[in-house]
Amino acid sequence: MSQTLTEDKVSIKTWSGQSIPRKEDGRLVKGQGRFADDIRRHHEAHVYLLRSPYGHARIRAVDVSAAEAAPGVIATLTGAEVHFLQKPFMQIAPLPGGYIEDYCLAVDKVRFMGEPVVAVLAETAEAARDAADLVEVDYEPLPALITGEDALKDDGPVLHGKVGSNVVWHGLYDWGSIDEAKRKADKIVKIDRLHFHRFTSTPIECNAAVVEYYPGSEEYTIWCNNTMPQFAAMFMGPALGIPTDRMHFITQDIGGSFGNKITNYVYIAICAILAKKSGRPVRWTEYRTDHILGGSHGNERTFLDIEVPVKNDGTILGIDARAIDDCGAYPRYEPLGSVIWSQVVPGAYQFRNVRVDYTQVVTNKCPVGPNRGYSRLQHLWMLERVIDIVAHELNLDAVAIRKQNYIQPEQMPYETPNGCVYDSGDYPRCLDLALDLIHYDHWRQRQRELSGTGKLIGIGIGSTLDSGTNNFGQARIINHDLPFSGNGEVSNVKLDLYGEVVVTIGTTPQGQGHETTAAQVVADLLGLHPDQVRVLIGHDNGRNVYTGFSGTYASQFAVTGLGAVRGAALKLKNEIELLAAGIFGAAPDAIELVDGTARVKGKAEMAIPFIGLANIVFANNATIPDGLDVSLNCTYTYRPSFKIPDVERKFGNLTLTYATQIHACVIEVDEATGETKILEYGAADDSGTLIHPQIVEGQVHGAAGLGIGAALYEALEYDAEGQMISPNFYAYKAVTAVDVPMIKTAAIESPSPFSPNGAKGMGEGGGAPLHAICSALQDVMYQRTRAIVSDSYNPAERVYRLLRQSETANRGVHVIENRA
Amino acid sequence: MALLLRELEYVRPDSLEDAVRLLSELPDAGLLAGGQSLINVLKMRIGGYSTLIDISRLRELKAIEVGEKSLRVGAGVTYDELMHSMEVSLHRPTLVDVVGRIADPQVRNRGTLGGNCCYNDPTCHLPPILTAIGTVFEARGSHGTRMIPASEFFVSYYQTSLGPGEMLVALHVPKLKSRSGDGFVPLSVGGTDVLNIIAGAATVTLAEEGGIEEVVIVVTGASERPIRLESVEEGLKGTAGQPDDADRAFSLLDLALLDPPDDVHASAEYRRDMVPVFTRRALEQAMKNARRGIHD
Ligand SMILES: Cc1cc2nc3c(=O)[nH]c(=O)nc-3n(C[C@H](O)[C@H](O)[C@H](O)COP(=O)(O)OP(=O)(O)OC[C@H]3O[C@@H](n4cnc5c(N)ncnc54)[C@H](O)[C@@H]3O)c2cc1C
Repeated sequence: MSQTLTEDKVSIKTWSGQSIPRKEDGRLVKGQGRFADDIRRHHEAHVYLLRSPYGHARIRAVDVSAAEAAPGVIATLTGAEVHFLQKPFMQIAPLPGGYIEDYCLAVDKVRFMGEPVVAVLAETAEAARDAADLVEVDYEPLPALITGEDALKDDGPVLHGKVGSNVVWHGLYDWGSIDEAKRKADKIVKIDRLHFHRFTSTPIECNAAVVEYYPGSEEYTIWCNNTMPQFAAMFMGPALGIPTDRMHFITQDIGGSFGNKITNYVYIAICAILAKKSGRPVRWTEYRTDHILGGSHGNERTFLDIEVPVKNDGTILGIDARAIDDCGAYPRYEPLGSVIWSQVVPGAYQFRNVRVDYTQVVTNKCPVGPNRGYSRLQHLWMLERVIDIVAHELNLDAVAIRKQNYIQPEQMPYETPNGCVYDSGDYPRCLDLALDLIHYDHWRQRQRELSGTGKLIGIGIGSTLDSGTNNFGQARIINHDLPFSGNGEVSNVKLDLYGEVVVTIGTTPQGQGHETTAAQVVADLLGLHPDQVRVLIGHDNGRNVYTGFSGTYASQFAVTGLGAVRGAALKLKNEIELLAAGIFGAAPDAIELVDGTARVKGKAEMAIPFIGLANIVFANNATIPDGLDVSLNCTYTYRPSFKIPDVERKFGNLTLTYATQIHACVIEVDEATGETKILEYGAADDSGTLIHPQIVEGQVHGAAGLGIGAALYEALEYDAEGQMISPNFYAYKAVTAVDVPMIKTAAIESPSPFSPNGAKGMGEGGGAPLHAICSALQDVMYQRTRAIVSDSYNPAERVYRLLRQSETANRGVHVIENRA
Repeated sequence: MALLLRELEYVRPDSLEDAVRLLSELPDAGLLAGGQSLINVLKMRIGGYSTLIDISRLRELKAIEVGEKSLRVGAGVTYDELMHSMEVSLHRPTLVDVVGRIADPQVRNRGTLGGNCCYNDPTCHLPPILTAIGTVFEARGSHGTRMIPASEFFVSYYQTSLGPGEMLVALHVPKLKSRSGDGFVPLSVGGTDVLNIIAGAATVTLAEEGGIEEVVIVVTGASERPIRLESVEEGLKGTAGQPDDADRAFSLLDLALLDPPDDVHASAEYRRDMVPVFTRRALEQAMKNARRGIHD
């Protein structure tokens, strides 16, 4: 992959590995990006969604007659109609959780505040909005279910009657022998309850779609910002009775998703029904309040009765816990999260005995969807809370206990207790780097010096793994009947008529710079400058380049996307070499690709530019050398090598790569107010081989910002009646650049032995700021009341309370000496 | 993106006189200044007006005049204009600092002093500091002009003592006296102060020998309106304003005055606990500023 621009120019070894200017940025900074809401169709109509003001209520009657008579109204859509026009969306859960019936509009009951109840289609957005005020819905309010723990009580409301309980999925995960570990332990540290709160990632662009139906071909064209369109198709097709080949999804620029847009197929379905019903192109763009109310939230999870067998020297032998995951009113992507956490069962640690009794329940809250760090960050947060609590209770050093329990670099590749294979990494070194970034020794000393002065300094660490490239076979652990396994992405690389190099991928980038990194990879293989490589924007199944997994989610582009691009570019390279070899009567391996030409090595006069090659194949094919079968249009599907997990033992390799993210921070807590100020923030990363270091660093910054926001400012909260009390930016303080401290970064590169290019998926991050900030707060509490930081959300008021917790209060932590 | 307001009428009078007349003539009319609060409220369709009278371009509301004892600042002056006013920097510098903390440049480019006071959201920056420094509000209606002291202007959540058909035309801000200083310290969330949970504001004037001669301490977020901590003020007067003096004075805080709200941002209990913290910080800042004046 080495390349020389021309002999006399500076030689650059490869474009991969360099932070070249991003190809996307020119159009984005000039306001020339094209987003779903920028699409305009002739004769389009506008949707307004009337949403439930209740968290839980029976719908007695809906009257749309006044709305339908209002000026400009074209059509309305009610749950009763939807009940007739739509089959319930597929459920991933097996029965009885699979009995849940999910429609695009509420049919008989509303189950969360903000659930769409009636859709109004009108000539203008204003007319649709005004007409919605005329819709009359007669609700009978029902008691609401707000917490996961309450959902399991016998006497509470049941959200989906047919299921018989509020449980979506339950499973016991049991690896190694936790009972034996408890017998062998010197001590058992018990933690009563840890709670991971509900928040989301707040993409700048809300959900949006424009849907047009052509009766002639019975085809729907769907311009949208869904980030996993073929997954959307799998849900929409059977529900709406549309063959998936009749759904033409087109995505362009997407203003952030973080996983949140994967489940917007529910809204696209409303648009599809209305497009057919009205015969008009239908436009829907979600408002911010609607996005916060009814977009997609991150999973809330409560861990109960955690027991940690430990040796006196700090060796952790295992973890035993109950987990209750709250997925809101409808599962949608869930209960996949109920297995996805198990990609990182031991986190960065060596313990091998784990038992987790896992239950996922529904509540009267907005449905969850994948949210950056999806399902792993909750578990990793719990592990890091456990490490810090154990360290403090046993009076051990928080750094030493981590280093001692970390999986060591010489153990790589490392098989975890549940059969996942950590590909590569050096956790102790990343921790050292993170500690250097925050001047750890200096601050430990300052902390001692300041002791007793009223200034409270806390130092925290968050060790995380970002598991990337899912083996979808893990879905079978949830539901044995699901016909899914493996993963994959497709790319096409071709020469166009005049020799232009054009790359198509099935992905849906939202800021990850796919156009740039794909161009780097292709430029290296074809002897070009990345500017000479055009990468088409977004996912378009009309281009015929996709698999069922296509999209951008779950930290995988560097592996699956670039793996596909590399495969396709290699095929094209091979064809070009064959063609040039045929033209010059040389051996294919005598051909080199330099600066947009194919030439015979060492013979400057035997060279043909790509335009010449393209001309021969596309417009002058009587001149193709005899016997050559080349198309210059090469498609490749990258497939990681995976096996189907053992569903009984819940055992197998669930992800291909494991990036490391170790964050460390220094905070100062204002004792009088509980406010937390971040004094130092360091993030050390190992994402394997870096294709574009600056893009990776940008992802690190973004993930750190979101995590800091979640830890200190952002919570999606409901009151006891199911009213959301944070439905807009007035109440939900989404993190902004000014809230984020200076983030220092460091990176090492431990190439993945399993990915085609040594890279690892890394975009999600493992929620490290939540862990690091809670860790630092815990460090503060141990200087004061020894209160346990048991919640992932710590606004000033909560910290204030912890600082004032009575010394005799039940801290929810017990250390039991094991005398057995 | 279309803002989904209810359909309404819009008028933009050319003179203050016309604006005042239209306000009393048109049924159900409301004033539109910077729109940074009003438009959000209209978008939510809670209440609303059938006509908006746009006063944002009225020259008469834009003047900043320096009088003998006070500044007369037009109600239509934006935060950004205030921040760049030499007169205000010279005579009441704290206001420049306070408005410079509001939200972001977009909001500061449009939001007006008058809008901030008339909206009177409990999280707003201006009501506490304007109350502390003794601002007088000049209102005009069809019956003429009247002057309303701050202590009477702010009535309750989102309510002022302006009557129907009456508008705020100017704020009379006392000039900072010698040996005086102001302080403003909010409890907010994140890196900028939006959504102040509690805001303490204070002004002090020191005697020649450095003791506290006059002091006003105000808090918002602790009740439906900005409230003065008079018992604390009394406890401070005549003292040297040392930490011990402040301890004693704040122990006199009349907790019965406080009736804080309980909402998503903070519990009532926490707000109550934060009142002495932030008012005292505001006092300390005011003292520091006043002393700086002395040493100049
Ligand atoms: C994102 C954002 C963040 C914000 N953060 C803060 C903050 O941190 N601190 C803060 O203090 N404010 C904040 N605000 C509110 C902002 O300061 C508003 O500008 C202010 O509350 C209203 O001023 P306005 O000129 O925009 O008034 P408008 O929104 O136009 O009007 C507000 C109300 O006052 C009435 N009104 C306006 N002028 C007059 C007048 N002369 N006489 C009588 N009635 C009048 C209007 O009829 C209306 O009822 C924020 C606003 C936004 C959008």
